[in-house]
Amino acid sequence: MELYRMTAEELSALLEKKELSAAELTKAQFERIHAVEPDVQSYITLTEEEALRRAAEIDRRRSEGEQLSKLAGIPIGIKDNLCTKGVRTTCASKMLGNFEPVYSATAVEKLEDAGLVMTGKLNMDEFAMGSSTENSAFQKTKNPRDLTRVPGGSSGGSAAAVAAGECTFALGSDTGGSIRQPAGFCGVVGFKPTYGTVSRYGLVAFASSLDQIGPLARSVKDAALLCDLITGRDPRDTTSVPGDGSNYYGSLNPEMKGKVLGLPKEFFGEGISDEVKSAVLAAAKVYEGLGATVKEVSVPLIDYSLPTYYILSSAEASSNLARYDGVKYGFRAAEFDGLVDMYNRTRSEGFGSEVKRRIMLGTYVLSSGYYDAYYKRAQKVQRLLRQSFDEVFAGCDALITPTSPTTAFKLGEKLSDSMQMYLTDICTVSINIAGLPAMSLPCGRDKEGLPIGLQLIGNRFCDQTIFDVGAAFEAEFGRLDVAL
Amino acid sequence: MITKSEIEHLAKLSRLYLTDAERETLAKEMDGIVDMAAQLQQLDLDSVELTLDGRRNVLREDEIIPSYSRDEILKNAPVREAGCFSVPKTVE
Repeated sequence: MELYRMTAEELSALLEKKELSAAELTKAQFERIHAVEPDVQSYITLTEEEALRRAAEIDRRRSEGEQLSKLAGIPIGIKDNLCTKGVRTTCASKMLGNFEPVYSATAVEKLEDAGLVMTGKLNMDEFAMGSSTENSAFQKTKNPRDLTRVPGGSSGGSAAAVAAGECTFALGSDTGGSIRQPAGFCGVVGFKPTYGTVSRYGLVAFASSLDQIGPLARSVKDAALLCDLITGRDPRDTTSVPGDGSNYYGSLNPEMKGKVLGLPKEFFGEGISDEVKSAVLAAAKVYEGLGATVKEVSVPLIDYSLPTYYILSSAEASSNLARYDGVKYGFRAAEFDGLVDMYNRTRSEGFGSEVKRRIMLGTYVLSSGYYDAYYKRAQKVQRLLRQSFDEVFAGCDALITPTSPTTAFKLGEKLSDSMQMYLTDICTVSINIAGLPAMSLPCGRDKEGLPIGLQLIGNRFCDQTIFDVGAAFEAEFGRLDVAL
Repeated sequence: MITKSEIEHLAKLSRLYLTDAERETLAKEMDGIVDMAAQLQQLDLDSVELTLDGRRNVLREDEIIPSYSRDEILKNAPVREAGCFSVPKTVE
């Protein structure tokens, strides 16, 4: 089998037995990238030279008998909103077009320590704002399952690269579905950990109380392996929770007897396509076949999650993006008349239209006279939503829902209608509002052959349950092969 | 309805210049989004308290630890001068 089709687990076994060297693997990986990248365009920056150098170093260390981590030598792509020391980190924005961080994100540092080989930086919606990766200032990534369609977003480059065999797995970030929705559209596994389990240090902030870094991979086990590398308390992120990290991979237990899975009826209503609905309900049947109990449940406030999400995330974004002033780093307009004019021109020329829209909306909901009506109310709904998930999880181990209302849509289809674009996140945003862990994994294809995503939602800090439940389904259903 | 003058006010607060075309589309789009946000008015939230859920501020010791050099910090500045960030004259 071609190396680019294999999972990290399989590659790791070959590397450990010295049947394959990291240098050979890296070389093969870049051959694959050069072959399909003209069509897919998932990378903003490739780091081939550095990757080959690192791979050679891993091989040298292994030949000297050093005990390396299980994932040493495996190629990984990184979403371009994670800081990488000395490697351009753009957030797919003109504003950070030339930004070269002087430090790496904690998650990236941990991967480097474990000997993974970074292939490059992956495309995304500008500042992670979007659901199709079409808001990138640089290029439009295509869905490898159908090149006329979007890969989803905002981690569209990460999902497309994994699906196209352009890296073994990737890191993405998820603020309202940005790992799960593109994973669903591209037919790969995407996992958003419980808020606080992965340090956000070095992740360019969009909405700090919702953002979380997580893996995209070709199998549930690969996602678990990668997640285990990046979890754990980091003193540089005060919202990261105490603990030394996880061992999801080593603790995997796909036994479904005795598990209770909930089907929240609000996720199967209007707007969800029939094909998606029936694929997810078929997945529920698979779980029953494995001995789990499946029952209908209700999370009554879900209908309010989209407005709540857009109020909270835009408010935080407008505040987080105030730092782009053309002084400390990033873009500065060429001509201006005085300081305020410089700020205004820099921001007007440096940000794309979706980013401006979110800044304006966030400024609106935080401005005097509207703060109580919008922002404060949204915070209260957040409180209630967390409570209603708590109540549901008192009687369930996990929830089963669609990841998105439809499969991947056509490039350009929703670009001119922001409300239609926002509605594609209807199944995912509530999970970030409540800080829960959730996974998307393939559970079928529609009549055009496009992957359908199954979303598994767990209670806070029950990430292990989601890996268990995901692995159980994958063992029955199988994985989707690499596209193209 | 979000008026054009409200858009102009928000743009000023956001430190953004908008073209006439941008002002027009933004007014329309924000109307749609604000209509959606107005759904929250349907809920009775008076009894919901905004306490911190038992969460606490996390503080650390105030210690001197290795930091970045001046050159590193200035590396990405669009304009620097004499080891400083350079900005347009702010006081006449």
